[in-house]
This record gives sequence, structure tokens and C-alpha cells, in this order.
Amino acid sequence: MAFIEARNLRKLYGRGGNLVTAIGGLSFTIEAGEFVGIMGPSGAGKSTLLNLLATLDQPTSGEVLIDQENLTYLSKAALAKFRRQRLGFIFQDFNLLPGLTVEENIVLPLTLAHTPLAQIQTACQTVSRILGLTDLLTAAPDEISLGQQQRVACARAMITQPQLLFADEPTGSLDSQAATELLQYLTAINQREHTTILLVTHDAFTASFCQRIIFIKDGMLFAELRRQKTRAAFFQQVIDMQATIGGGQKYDLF
Amino acid sequence: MTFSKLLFKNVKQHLNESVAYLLACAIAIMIYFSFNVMTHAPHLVTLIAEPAQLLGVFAFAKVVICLLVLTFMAAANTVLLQQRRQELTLLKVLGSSRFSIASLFFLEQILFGGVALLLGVGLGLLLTRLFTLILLRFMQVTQVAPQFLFSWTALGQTVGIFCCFFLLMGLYDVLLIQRQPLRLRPDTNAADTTRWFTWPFALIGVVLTALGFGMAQKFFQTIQFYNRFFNTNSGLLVILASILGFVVLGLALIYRWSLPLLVRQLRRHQRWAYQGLRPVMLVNLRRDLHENAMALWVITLTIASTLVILGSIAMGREILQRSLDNTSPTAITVADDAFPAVQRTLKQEGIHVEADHVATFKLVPSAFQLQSFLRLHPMIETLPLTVISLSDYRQAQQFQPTLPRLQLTTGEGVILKQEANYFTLPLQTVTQTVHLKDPQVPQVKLVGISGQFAFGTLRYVSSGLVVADQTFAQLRDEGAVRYHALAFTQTQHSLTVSRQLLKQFDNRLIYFKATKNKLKRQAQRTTGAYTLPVLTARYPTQVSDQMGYGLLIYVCLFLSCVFMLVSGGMMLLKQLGNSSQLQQQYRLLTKIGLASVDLKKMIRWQVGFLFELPVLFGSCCAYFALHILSVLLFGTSLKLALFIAGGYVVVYGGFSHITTQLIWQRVTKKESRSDSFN
Ligand SMILES: Nc1ncnc2c1ncn2[C@@H]1O[C@H](COP(=O)(O)OP(=O)(O)OP(=O)(O)O)[C@@H](O)[C@H]1O
Ligand SMILES: [Mg+2]
Repeated sequence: MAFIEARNLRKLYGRGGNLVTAIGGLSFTIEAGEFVGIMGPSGAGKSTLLNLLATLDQPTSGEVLIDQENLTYLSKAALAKFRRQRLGFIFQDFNLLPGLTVEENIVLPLTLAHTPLAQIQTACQTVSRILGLTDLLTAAPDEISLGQQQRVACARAMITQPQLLFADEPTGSLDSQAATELLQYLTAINQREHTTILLVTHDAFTASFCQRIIFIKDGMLFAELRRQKTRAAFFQQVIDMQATIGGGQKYDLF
Repeated sequence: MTFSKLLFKNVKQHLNESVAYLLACAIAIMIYFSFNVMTHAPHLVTLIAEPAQLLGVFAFAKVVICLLVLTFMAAANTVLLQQRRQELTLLKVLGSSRFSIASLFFLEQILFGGVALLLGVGLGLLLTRLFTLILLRFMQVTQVAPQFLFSWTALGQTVGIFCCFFLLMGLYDVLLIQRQPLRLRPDTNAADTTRWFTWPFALIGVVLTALGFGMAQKFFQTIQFYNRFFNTNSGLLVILASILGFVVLGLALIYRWSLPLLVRQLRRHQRWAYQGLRPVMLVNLRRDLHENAMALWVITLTIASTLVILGSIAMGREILQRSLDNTSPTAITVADDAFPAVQRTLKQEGIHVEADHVATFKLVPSAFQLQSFLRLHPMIETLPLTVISLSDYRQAQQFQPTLPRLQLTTGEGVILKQEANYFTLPLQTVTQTVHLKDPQVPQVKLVGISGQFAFGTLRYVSSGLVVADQTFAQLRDEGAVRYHALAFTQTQHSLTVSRQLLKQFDNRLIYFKATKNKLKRQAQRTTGAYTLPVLTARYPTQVSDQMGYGLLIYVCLFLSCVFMLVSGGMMLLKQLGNSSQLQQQYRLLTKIGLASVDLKKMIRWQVGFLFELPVLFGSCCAYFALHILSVLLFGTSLKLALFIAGGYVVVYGGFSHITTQLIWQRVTKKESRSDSFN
């Protein structure tokens, strides 16, 4: 049974004459507990797609169903509740609040849900240990490096232990060791807690951690890859597919 | 795009934030204009017994309005320009010359000025009738009907002055633009760091303010303590000055250091801070406090001073009333020798005299000691005392019901002294006596002090003394006067007659010559003579008091209106300037699942806090200041001050509501726009 279902999604930007088609009729399903990657050249509409699925944006036409619930018909408040309780989102541009400390940024989703303090503290400790942020908790976001900011963004998305985790280029600013650690962690929560993960990336290495990869180009479904054997073999498949699509990078090797 | 098109586009785009500015200016202009028209209305001016008074009060008020408006305009323009810094930079980057940008802003200013003037003068013209009606009500004048007032000079003056102001502001804008550095992004958050002096300063601020308030509350005790400690008499001035200094400085420190520190500590206190939107709110509050500390301080002080001024005016009503009761408690009080003439006149005019009380006053040289709260050493008074008998005093209680009841036996006396509250009986002297220069009664035992004078203060050359009838009878008669206190009701006719009588006996006095041991009545003035008036009338004074007082209240109410608008408008603009940051927060927080209602609630709180905080502090200051005044002046009415403080709360509440709405509009609107331009 499909956990996420996109039915003929379309998203147009702009007004009047100069319309840009960001997504032009996408349909696919994602099962509960899957770890799915989305790849495609820059401007293909990946972020837009993720925003639509996360209800941050309304599709021009088409529908999104999550857990058989049609999000198109939910009220604003219900959508906010959905995002708060069931969804974690790691944004491409981090979206950290500048005035708040790292710790405050991380715990924000929990305070918004009025979680008891003890629970907040343990959750914060756990997540910051995993992401190596323990020493940075009192710093301000603009005092730390991009990679660190990205890890903070991850921590904020994961602290609520959501059912659904959307990640827009979560490893973009990380060195390969940090990236590997993060991805291993994502894999772990995917396996242990059956979190459904949707991950956008340009990077074949990152993508090779997924079970399935959806390739889109110009807002349309281009191809789909499923991991069968080892990760190394899968990595090679992804590289080949990127070459076919064009516009991807071919440098990142083991 | 042509220049004029650009101008209109600009004006349209910034109408939203400029509406507050425009309205505040327009209303200030309206009030200025209405004051101006009133001073140029001949029938209003002649109505007042002393037209100079009216003109003086209005002139003062107009100057105050001008100053308020000018500071407001300058501050508002600075804020507005700061908000448009990005737009300015963009214009520069796009290649407009500084000159053309400057002339764009200059013209915009003139355009706004024109609209504000039109609005203000138009409203002023429409509402003159209403304003005159209110003024006449306040002055308790009934014989003049309120009219539509107009005067070309008033119009010309108003337009001229405000045109000058707007021109000045245009130039000010140009100056600001010339000196503006190129910058694409406004500076973001101030770092949340503490330095070694943060804690001491924060503490000193609180301690100073609390000390100031405490000293104000225990005013007399503090002065006494100071005088004893330093062995001086200068306590009153020193303590007043230090209270003022402590509170003013303390408040500055509180705004600059204590409150930010408090917010910081709250932020660290996770049990409280980690709930809902509080982490975000605390950060915003800290930034707002950091940016607006001095503005908040100035607004607080101004609110406090308006409240004190209005409150003391309200006290003034009581003081006026009391001094009227004290000077002429009945319709006419007249000395014995002029009494037949007055009686004749009253009979001729058909005025029915309802009561005629007679009392005898004897003037006796004296010496006695009093201990003042305000002085270290007892004061020795050697002025002549006017002595009245207990039975005459009791007679006066019939028409002066507030006179305290006295019980005296032979040889005892009560001093009547105007500033009775300041005095206790001498503590050190064993015998509390009044020494009289009278062979029969050399001394009287002092048993009390009272601030209220039977038959009115004007019947006494300085302080008074009430003694038992027997003692009174023993006193020498040479310095004796008899007064009649006549009562009749106030009508238009009796008022006119009173005025006539007052004119008839204008400046006629009874003279007393002081010799070594006694006071003697005398026909003419000699040097060093003591005097008493022959006749005083209540109603004429009452009416002119009422008029002057009503005028004062009217002017002050409108002035405080202008102040409320101006300060509220300024805060509104300042807070609107922060909306870009709030917008950023809004976008992010909704993405991680915040219901927008909660954010709006947060904005409401934040804005409301910044608006009501100065009202709270200002009211506190005003309360203590008025407390000091009421101790010094014996007035106790805080009603009007409370009323105005309530007005502030309401008006600022309205402002904070509007501000919240405006911010909310911007926060949500711009998001959808940037949607399509990202
Ligand atoms: N708010 C917007 N307004 C107008 N056009 C937009 C907006 N957001 C995205 N687009 C357009 O939609 C298309 C898809 O954008 P999107 O951000 O989804 O690409 P992407 O695949 O995430 O690219 P990247 O890999 O660079 O992040 C692009 O052509 C972009 O210009
Ligand atoms: Mg993207």
C-alpha cells in the first residue's frame, strides 16, 4: 500500500504570459519505510517536488496523498499540524533562524509542540551527539561553518523522530566523512524506525545509499533505478544514468 | 518610466507605512489650527476676564505642538528612510544620480506635506464648532453659543508654518540621502554577549530606580533623615533633585541593561523558555530592546511628564477650590465699617441675604516655635497673630463644614497656619507655648495646628490662633476688627452685583501699625504696616478661576492627544521596520509546522509589550511624582492622571493592534509575491 502517492502533479510558476513549468505531470508512489532518492539536473524541479509533497506549496493541478489522506483538502491548521508532527524537512538553504543559538534552533520543533523539557533535553543531547554538534550548541548559526549549519538543519529535522523525512541536498556542504556518517545514520533510522526518507541529491555517492532513485528532468519522470546488489554496483548505475540525463556531476569517486 | 510616474508609484507603494505618519501630522495640524483659530476669535477672547491669559496659554501650547511635530517628523523620516535603504541603494545601483534620487524624495515629502495640510486644516475647519463647544463647556461658560470660527490670519499662519516644516523635512531627507552609505542588506542581530559591566549596570539601574521611588514614597522622612545626617536645611532640594536624577538615570540603565539581561536570563531558563514560540519571541524582544532602548526611555519620560502635568492640573482644581473656600468662604465677607454700605446696595438690588455671621478678630504680637519636617531646627515665628474666639470659630463651622472640630479650655490655643502639614509641634521644647505680648494673657498653651482658617485666610495678617472665649475676652481690644460673612446664592445678577461691590471697595484696606508691644488700627498706610482687605467676594473669583482652569485643562488634553499620536506613530514606524525579520521567521516557521495563528499571537505580544512598557514605567514615575506633589501641596486627587494613563493604555493598545495588523499584512503578503520572483 502506498504511503505517499503523487497523482499527475503539475506546478507552474509566474503570472500571465511567461509561465515556467517547474513540474509537468508527475505520478509515482512511495511505500512506507522506503529510502528514496530524487536526482536530476539543476532546475529539474526537485526542490519544487519536495515542497509540494511537504505541503509547503500548492500544486497547480494534481493531488498528493499521504497515508491515504488527500492533502489538497486539508485546512491550513491541519497542514501545519501535519508538518509539525509527522514531517521532518532538511532544507537546501538550511533555513536556520539567525538570532537563535544552535540549540534553540534544533529544539524549535519540539517547543512548538509543547514537549516537556526533560524530553526536549534528552532528544537534543542524542541528536547533537550523533551529528557531532555537542560543542556548538551555544554558538549562533552565522558563527559556524556551512557544513556545521547543514548538520544543525539535519538535527532540527530529525529531533522529532518524524515518520517522514524529506532532505534537500543534506550532504551538499559536508566533507565525505561527515556525509558518510550522516547517511549511515539516515540508513539506520530508516531500518530501525521505518522512517520513510525522501532525499534529493546531485551526488551519486549519496544516492547510492538509497534503495530506489527517481530521476526527473524538466519536471517529468525520466527514469527509475532500484538497488539490487552492492552499493558499489548501484553507484556505477547511478553514474551511468547521470551521464545519460546530462548535467550531472561525474567527479565524486570513492 | 518618467519621473512623475516613478514618484506616484513610490508614493503608492509606501502609502501603507506612511499612513500613520500622515495621520499623526494631519491631526497635529488640525489641533494647531483649531488653537490658532480660537486665539483669533474676538468674541472668545473678550469673554475671558484676562484675555492675555488665554493668548498666553494658547501660544505656549502652539509652541509645544510645533516642537513635538518637528521631532516626530525628523524621527519618522529617519526611520522611514532607513527602511527604504535597500530601495535607495537599488536606485543608486541602477544608475540614478544622487541628485535625482534626492529630488524624488524631496517631492514625495512635499506631496505628503500637502495632503497632511489639506487633511488637517479641513478637519480643523469642520470641527471648530465642536472644539469651541468643548472649550466653553470646560470653561463653564453658558452665555455664548458655540460658533463656526474662521480667520484668514489663522489659516495663513498654520499653512505657512507647516509648509516650512515640510520643506525642512524635505531638505532633511536630502541630507540623509547624501550621507547614506551604500548597503544592500540591513544589519542583522546584535550579538547576545555580556561584558563585565553588564551585571553591575543592570543592578545599579534597578537599585537606583527603586531607591528613587522609595524616597518619593517616604518623602518627608527621607528629608528629615538627610537633614539630621548632614546637619543642614537643604534636604528638600537635594532630595528632590536626587529622586529625579536616580529615576531618570535608573530608567535609562534599566532599558539599556537590565531588561536585555532579564530577557537573556529568561532565555537561559529552559524550563520557561523552551515552550512554543518563546525562544523566537525572546530573541526578538532582545533585539527590539537593543535597538529601541533610548527611544523607549524618552517616550517613558515624556509620558511621565504629561501625566504629572495633567495630574497636577487636576490637583490644581482642588487647590483652587480650597483656596477659594479659604479666602472667601461666603458670597461676601466685609469689614464692620463698610457693612452698612454693602447692606444698602444688596437691598437695593433685591438680593436676599440668607445668613450674616459676625466674628471679631484681635491682632496680637507673638512669638512661638514650630518644628518643620523640612528643616532641621525649629522655626521661631515672631509675626503678629490674628486671634479668634472659639465660639466665633464654631459659628464659622456652619458655612465651612470642613473646619476641624476643636475642644479648648481656658489658656489653650490652636495655631492656624497655611502649610500646617509641614509642621509638628516643637519636639525639643518642654513647654509648648505661644508667647503673646499682652499683659493679661502672656502665654497660651499650644495644643494643635490646623491648616484651615475660619472666615477665610484673608481675615488674618499671617497665622491665626483660636483660643477659648474666656482667654479671648481677656485680650486687649486695640487691634480688633469685626467682619461680616454674608451668604446669598449665585445667580447672574448676584455675580454682577458682587463685581460692582468688589470694584467699589477695590484696594481698600484696613491698616495696623505695629508698636513694640501691640498692634493698633490706623487710618493710613505707614511703612511696615499690616493690612487686611475691607471686602472680598467669592463668585467673581470663582468664575474667573473656572474659566482659567477649564482653558488649561482643554489645552492640556489636546496636547496630550498630540503627544499620544506622535509617540504612538513613532513606535509604530519603528516596529514596522522590523517586519522583514519577522517575515523571514514566518516563512521558516511555517515550513517546520507552525500554525500562523500562533505567530500572529507572538507578534501581537511582542508589539504590545513594546507599546505598553513605557506606559507602565511612565505611570509608575508619574504616580510617585504626583505623590510628592500631593504631599507638598495637600492635593490628593489622582483621578485625572489615572484617566489619562488609562487613555494611554487604550490609545497605545489601538496603536499596537494596528501595528500588529500592518506587520502581519507585510509578513504574509510579501511571501506570496516573492513566490514568483525567487
Ligand atoms: N518561487 C519560484 N518562482 C518562479 N520560478 C521558480 C520558483 N521556484 C522554482 N522556480 C523554477 O522552477 C524550476 C525548478 O526549480 P527547483 O528549485 O525545483 O529546481 P531544483 O531541481 O531543485 O534545482 P537545484 O538542483 O538547483 O536545486 C526552475 O526553473 C526554477 O527557475
Ligand atoms: Mg533545489
